[in-house]
Amino acid sequence: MAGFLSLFYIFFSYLAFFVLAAGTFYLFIRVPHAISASVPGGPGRFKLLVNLAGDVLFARGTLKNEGKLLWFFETVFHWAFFLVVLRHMRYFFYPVRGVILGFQDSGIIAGYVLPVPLIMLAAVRLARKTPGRIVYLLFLLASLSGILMTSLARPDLVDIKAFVLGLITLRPVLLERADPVFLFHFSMVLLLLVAVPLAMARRALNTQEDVPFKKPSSIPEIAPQNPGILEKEET
Amino acid sequence: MRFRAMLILPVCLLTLAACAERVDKPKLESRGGTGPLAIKMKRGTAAPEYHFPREYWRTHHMDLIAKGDFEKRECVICHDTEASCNKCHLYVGVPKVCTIMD
Ligand code: HEC
Ligand code: HEC
Repeated sequence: MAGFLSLFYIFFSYLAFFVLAAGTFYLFIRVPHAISASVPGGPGRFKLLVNLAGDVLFARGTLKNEGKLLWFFETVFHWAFFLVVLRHMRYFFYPVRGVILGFQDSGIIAGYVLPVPLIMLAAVRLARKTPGRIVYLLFLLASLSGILMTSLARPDLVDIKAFVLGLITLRPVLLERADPVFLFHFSMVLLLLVAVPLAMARRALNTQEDVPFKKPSSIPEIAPQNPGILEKEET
Repeated sequence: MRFRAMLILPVCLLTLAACAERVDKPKLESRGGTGPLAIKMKRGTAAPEYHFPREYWRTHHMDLIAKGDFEKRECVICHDTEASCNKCHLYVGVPKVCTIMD
């Protein structure tokens, strides 16, 4: 059973990675370039990078489009998630470096904080039918199953790390035990790997939160002004 | 711009792959563990009753130690920390068990 499930998950892990890589690469080359540094009169590359950092670290898109309360939760979510990801680095590296060890405790605390903003964000976005809302549900489920594993239902960490390192080093090994909570957690992560870039693309195109500056009037109307442009391009 | 930044994600994952070291996972030598992380016990030591079920002990010894049901100094009667405890702990990134008993 563990062997069969391992094969199943090995296949879907690589599939998820392939979809993620192909999808982001597709967006990289195909999304209209109205918001790139090559626009005359637009900000330079550096300013764009600063803008981008602001978007990610302080969730400015949310502030602009959804108000202060959701912005607050989104920011808490981003930072808590960042710390949680840092804690997870211990599963992806061998040997585990001191830097990573230094983030373990803050990672645990952040892990317990994480569901709070997620519940709020998921509730509001499900109610408002924001594009890409499924992502918040997946995040919430991943975070709750993660908490379950640090507290009540500890899995065999050694077994799981061997499985994950096997995937990463392209020499997959089978799990010895199929821990249901871990496999659920892992499934949510694989789904997120695919769903997050998709959701971000759809949301950005719908709300124009990706446009960090006013386009000079001399530039013709192209790109993110037009919701659903991706779907149109694909047909 | 943000779409382009998303390319960072797969790139990071690939970097991880390039950096990760291959090593056999820590496993009791008596159960076929091999490599630098094989868990070694002194020959002839019998496992105490509380190690069973083994699966439960492996995943919950930290909770029982934290609760105070067991003390680390009991463990090192049979366990050489470097040869057993810390093989696992180094592997998963848990603080080392010190030889100086606390
Ligand atoms: C009486 C001796 C003895 C004591 C005391 C002892 N152990 Fe063990 N332990 C063993 C033996 C022997 C093994 C290996 C069993 C085998 O080879 O099948 C073992 C194995 C283990 C394993 C690995 C189990 C696995 O399946 O991978 C862990 C973890 C462990 N012990 C933790 C502890 C901790 C923590 C303590 C202190 C609370 C402790 N032990 C106290 C003898 C002991
Ligand atoms: C089979 C691998 C394995 C062996 C052998 C092992 N441990 Fe652990 N131990 C773990 C794992 C995995 C964790 C952490 C689980 C987590 O972080 O969720 C842990 C955590 C702990 C913790 C809690 C650490 C902390 O700071 O949170 C203590 C204390 C501990 N082990 C003591 C021991 C002692 C003492 C021995 C040797 C007698 C030992 N362990 C042997 C796997 C092992």
